[in-house]
Amino acid sequence: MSAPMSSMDFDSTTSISDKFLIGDALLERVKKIVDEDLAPQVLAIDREGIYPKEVMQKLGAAGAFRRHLPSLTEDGKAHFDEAMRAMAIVSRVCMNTGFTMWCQVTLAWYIEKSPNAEVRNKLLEKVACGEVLGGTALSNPMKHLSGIEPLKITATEVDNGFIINGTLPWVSNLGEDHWFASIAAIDTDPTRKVMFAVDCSSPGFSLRQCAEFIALEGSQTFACHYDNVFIPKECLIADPIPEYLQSIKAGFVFLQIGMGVGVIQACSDYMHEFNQSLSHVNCYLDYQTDELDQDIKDYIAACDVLATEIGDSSDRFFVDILKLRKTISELSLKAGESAMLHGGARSYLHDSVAQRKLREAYFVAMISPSIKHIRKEIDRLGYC
Amino acid sequence: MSQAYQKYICVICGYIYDEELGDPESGLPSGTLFADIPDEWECPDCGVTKQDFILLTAPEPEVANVSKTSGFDSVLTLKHVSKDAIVVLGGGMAAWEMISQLRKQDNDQAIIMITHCSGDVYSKPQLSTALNKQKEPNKLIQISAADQAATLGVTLLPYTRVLAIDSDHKRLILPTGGLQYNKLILALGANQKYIPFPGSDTKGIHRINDLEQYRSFREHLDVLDKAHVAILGSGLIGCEFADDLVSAGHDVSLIDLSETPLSHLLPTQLSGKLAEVFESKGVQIFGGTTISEVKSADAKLTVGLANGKTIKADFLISAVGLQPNIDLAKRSGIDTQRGILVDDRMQTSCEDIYAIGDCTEHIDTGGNKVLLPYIKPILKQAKVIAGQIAADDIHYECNTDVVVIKTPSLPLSVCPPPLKDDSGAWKLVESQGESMALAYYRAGQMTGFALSGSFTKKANDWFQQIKLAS
Repeated sequence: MSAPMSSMDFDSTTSISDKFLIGDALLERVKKIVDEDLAPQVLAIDREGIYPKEVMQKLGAAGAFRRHLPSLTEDGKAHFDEAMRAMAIVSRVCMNTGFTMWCQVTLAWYIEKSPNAEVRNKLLEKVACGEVLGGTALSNPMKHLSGIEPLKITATEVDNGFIINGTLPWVSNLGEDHWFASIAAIDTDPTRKVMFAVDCSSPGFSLRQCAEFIALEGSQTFACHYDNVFIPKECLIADPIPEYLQSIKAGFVFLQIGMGVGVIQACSDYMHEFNQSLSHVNCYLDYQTDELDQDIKDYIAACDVLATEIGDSSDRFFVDILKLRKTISELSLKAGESAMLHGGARSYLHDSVAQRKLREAYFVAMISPSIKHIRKEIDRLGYC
Repeated sequence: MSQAYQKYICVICGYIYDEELGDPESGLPSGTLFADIPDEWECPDCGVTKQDFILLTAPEPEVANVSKTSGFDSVLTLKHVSKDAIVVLGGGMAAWEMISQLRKQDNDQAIIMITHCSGDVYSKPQLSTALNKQKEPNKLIQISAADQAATLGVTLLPYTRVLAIDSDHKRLILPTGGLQYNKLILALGANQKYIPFPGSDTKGIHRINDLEQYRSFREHLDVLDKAHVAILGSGLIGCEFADDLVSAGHDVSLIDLSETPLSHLLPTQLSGKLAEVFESKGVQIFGGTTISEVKSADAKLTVGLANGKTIKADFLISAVGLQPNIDLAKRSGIDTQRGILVDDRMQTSCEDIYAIGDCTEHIDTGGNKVLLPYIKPILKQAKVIAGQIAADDIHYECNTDVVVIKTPSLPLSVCPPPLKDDSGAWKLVESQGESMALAYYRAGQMTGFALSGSFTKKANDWFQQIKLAS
């Protein structure tokens, strides 16, 4: 039996897997956390930059960050459908927290799939239960691999590790006691890249708060400055990376989908609410609730099929995941616009739910891989 | 004198410093030249210093809107027209033949084709003679999918996977959304069975049943002047590829549990004759055995056989038999066994859903469940489905037919006797060197035949005799 990894109290005779909920019980608990703990602070999170740390820890303790990690599930299988649903429940109310949840589960996914047992032993359970919070800085490398921009950080190989230099503009769910995953090119051979886990409290590493965003201010998004930061080999996630990235990218992209499903469900809720008083005029809008609700139903049915196949590391499968991802971006934009129009003048109020959902919908469409990035990538892969 | 102000871009976050505007919030008034910015100044959006800025020179040339010319439309744009459409799932010969027959019935009917492949039109039988005809895979394409779709007035969704069929609500679920259909025709084809022996996922093992898979094989084969190709399975496809490869100068090893090739289709004498012809051309036949494991080293395969022998090869083609693609149908609650079950109207167990071609399983006139992975049945089946949709009461008769085997070294035509008819016997009717004619007789009646060499030219005459007798 493994030693307790969590800082929370529990009976040492209970196995870790008994603590965490699964299936409908998990989703009910997530809904309870969202209704009781998250909903009251949504506006403060969105605009004042309050970071939902306690909510994140409660979600982790419930088991919401681990359903997609086969080494930690009760049946040794990945349950990406449950991971998606849990994230959708959160995102329906607060996209900021849905996003920080995505950062968290994606970090866990990278570590799960790493061939380095040392980094798995060091971090997997801690990230999966929410004891360690963290994120993912793979936006730049993913865009680099698609030919959109150059890689922004370099690594110098030394005994027992690497020295990292460079800057990444916007990485989320970070803090002094957080970790995240990053990719750098070797300075003497830029064709060789390495991926590693970074402790934000490492000497030489600093977080700079710079830009103000139109939403999700509570996502703890910082520029990451590496100034001769030493990364020990025990923190290596992958070297070489091509085959490793091929094995993780479908999961990385699929895990984002819960955010989109949540925001379109929220838009549907809003539209139904305003139809109670404005149906007589809302019926003249292009995108109605019956069509949106059918789209949501169809979309979740598509997710449920593809969720069972995330282990497929072929480009062909990845294209289907990219299409799925692009679709939720398109639906989010349609639903966001339609929600605004359904609410009429009330949507334009400063604190209306619709305008927040509209900003959140743009986030779904914009966050890597964005619609334009996906189309470029499908074009590059050739299945179009 | 006017100042020519310049712009500098942060390579990290894309922030643009415009000398004309400056950065007043950071204490740089408008007109502050980049060279005059203090070293300790930081990018307002990401915190880097001047060192990470470069001069913004000529703007990128504008690229035309690629999305308008590429296939990026999602079903969100199609859904309002699909509810009256006949939707065909598949992109092979069966799918295109089906659409041709539909068009003969009705020029205005909306038809949507959704295929996982490119949908380019090619003849599958030509895959197994392409080497000798010196045809590159792309030369096998007769018409592009886009051109064929335009000619037939079809909306084409290539490289598109259907994830589920909701037959209760007549909806298809795709990664890009849901699509209503009026009638649905499944032309999903078949694939070579995957046999899970140790090393069965090794690079260099190919299963070939469509142009895409063939293209992938040829990309590897064509870089070698002379390759050694091992083939698992001496059935129809295994033998056709063996003949094509050995005639093109490659070494071939043919492995099968049967002692001689095509023994499930041919009478013993003819199967033995084929083995002789193959061996005289240099094909090594490993009969009565199968593969125990495959290992790979230095881009070569070591194929270990159950009988203890070993073959060193560049590639392995796994051709043990076609398996209808039933996964989508099965998951969606449509009745399947080995194939998608259809009645004599070619309808599946779900209303308004038909199936055609290699993915189907029929009941023949003898009451047996049969698979018919051949070309000729497709033409008849397509007519039946098109007729049914047009409310003609036309039925499909699953009768015996002639199978032409494309082994130019020994041409073969076979009309197999009906399944489970093992009470008869094969009789040699005529023999002239490699040309042989055998007939299968049961209770004095010919119920099948097998021809080789020049006698294959009379296959139709022989077939007429069978039809008359039945």
